[in-house]
Amino acid sequence: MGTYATVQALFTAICDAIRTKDGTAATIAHQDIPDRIAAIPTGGGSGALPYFWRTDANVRILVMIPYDYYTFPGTLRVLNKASVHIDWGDGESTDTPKQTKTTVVQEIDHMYASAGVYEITMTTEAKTVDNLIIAFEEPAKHGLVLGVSTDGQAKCSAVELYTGVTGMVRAVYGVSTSQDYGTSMQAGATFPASILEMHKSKPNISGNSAICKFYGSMYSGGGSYLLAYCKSLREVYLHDCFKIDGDCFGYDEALERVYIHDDGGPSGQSYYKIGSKAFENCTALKEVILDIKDRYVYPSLAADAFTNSGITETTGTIYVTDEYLDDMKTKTNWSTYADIMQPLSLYTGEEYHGYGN
Amino acid sequence: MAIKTKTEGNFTYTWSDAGYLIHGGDPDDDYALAKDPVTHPRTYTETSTPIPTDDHEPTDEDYAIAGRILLGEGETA
Repeated sequence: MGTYATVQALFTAICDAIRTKDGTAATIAHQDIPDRIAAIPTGGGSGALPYFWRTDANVRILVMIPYDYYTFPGTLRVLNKASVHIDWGDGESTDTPKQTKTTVVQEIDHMYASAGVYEITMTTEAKTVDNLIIAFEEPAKHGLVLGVSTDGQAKCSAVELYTGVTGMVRAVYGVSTSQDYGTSMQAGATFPASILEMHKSKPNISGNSAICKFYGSMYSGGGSYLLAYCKSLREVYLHDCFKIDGDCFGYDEALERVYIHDDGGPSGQSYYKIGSKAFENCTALKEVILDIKDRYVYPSLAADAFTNSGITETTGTIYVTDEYLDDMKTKTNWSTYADIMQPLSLYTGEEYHGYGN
Repeated sequence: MAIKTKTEGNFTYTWSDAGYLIHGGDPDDDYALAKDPVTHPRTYTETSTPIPTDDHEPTDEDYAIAGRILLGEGETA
C-alpha cells in the first residue's frame, strides 16, 4: 500500500487505478470519480456493469462458467485473415490460424476445468487485413451467462467484436435474445458489420439493455433506431461519421455523452449529418463533443435532433473546436444552442480517434 | 407549394408548406425546418423530396448488401 504526501497525490493515485482498471487514458474530472469507481466490474454476480470492456490493445470479456468441465462456447467464429490470440484466463490460450480468405469460419472452443469467473482476453496484430469478427453465439443455450444488466433482466446471447482495418476492436457489447423495441435498420451501414449479420437471424439490437458504452464509426449511416431504447447506454464515441440517422439513439434515457471525432483528412468525410430526432428523449444527455478538425466536415443538424433531450437552449454543453466556435453559433439549427456552446479546449473527458488509437 | 418563413425573436424559421425538404442553409443541406439567426439570413429552395418518415423494413436486397459488406466485398456486387 502506497503512502501519499498530499491529497492531490492521493486523488491522482485513485484516478490512475481507475484508468488501469477500465483501460482508459483520459483525464478524470474529480466529480466523476465516484461514478467511475462504481462502474468498475466486480468480477461476478448480477448487477455489475460493464462485463465487457476494452483496453488499448486488447478486448477483454468477463465470463461466468457455470460448472466444472464446461466447454465454452462451441460456436466461436473468427472471420478474419489474421491470427487472433485468445487468452482464456485459466492459464491456457489459443491462437487462431491465419487464413487466406476472410470468409472462413473457424469453430473454436475451450474447456474450463472449473466453474467460476474468468477474464478472456483477445488480441490481434491485424493492421491491414479485413474486418475481424469474433462471435460467441448463443451461449444462453449452454446455460452460460455472459453478462447481466444492472437490473438483472438482460442476459447476453452473443458478444460480437468488431475491428477496423487498423487494429483491434474498440466497441464491445452484449446483446439480449429478448428484444422488445426497434423497427428496422439501414442495411447499407458499414458499422458494425456484425450487427448486419445479426439482423439476418435475430431481432433488432435496439432495446438492448446491456450496452453501456459504444465506440465506432458510421461511414454510411447508423440506421434508424440502431441503438434506440438502450436504457443502459451512457456514452457514445464516434469516429469518421457520415450520418447519424434519425432516431438512431432515440430514447436512450441514460445517455450522457456523445463524442464525435473526425480528422477531416483523406479518411474524413465531406458530408455529415445528424438526422431528425437522432437523440430524441435522451433526457440525461449532458455533453455533445464535436472534435472535428475541418470546418467543412461539420455536420448539418436537423431542427428536432435533440427533441426532449438534455441538450436545450439553456441546458447541457456542446463542445466545438475552438477556432470554429463563433462560426458554429450562427449555423443553421446549431444556432439554437449558441448559449451552451463551449470551446473544445475545455473538454476534459474521454476521447476516441478511431480504431487502433 | 411554397417556402414559408417566420421571424420570432432573433431567429428566422424556414420550411415548406407542402411537407417537402428545403435546401440551403449552412451547412448546405436538406432540412425539414431551418432556424437561422436574423443576423445571418439564408435562402432556401423547395426540393421535391417529401420529409421522410422512419418506416423501413429490410428487404432481401438489404440483406444481400449487408452480406457483401460483412465479407468485405463492398456494397455493390
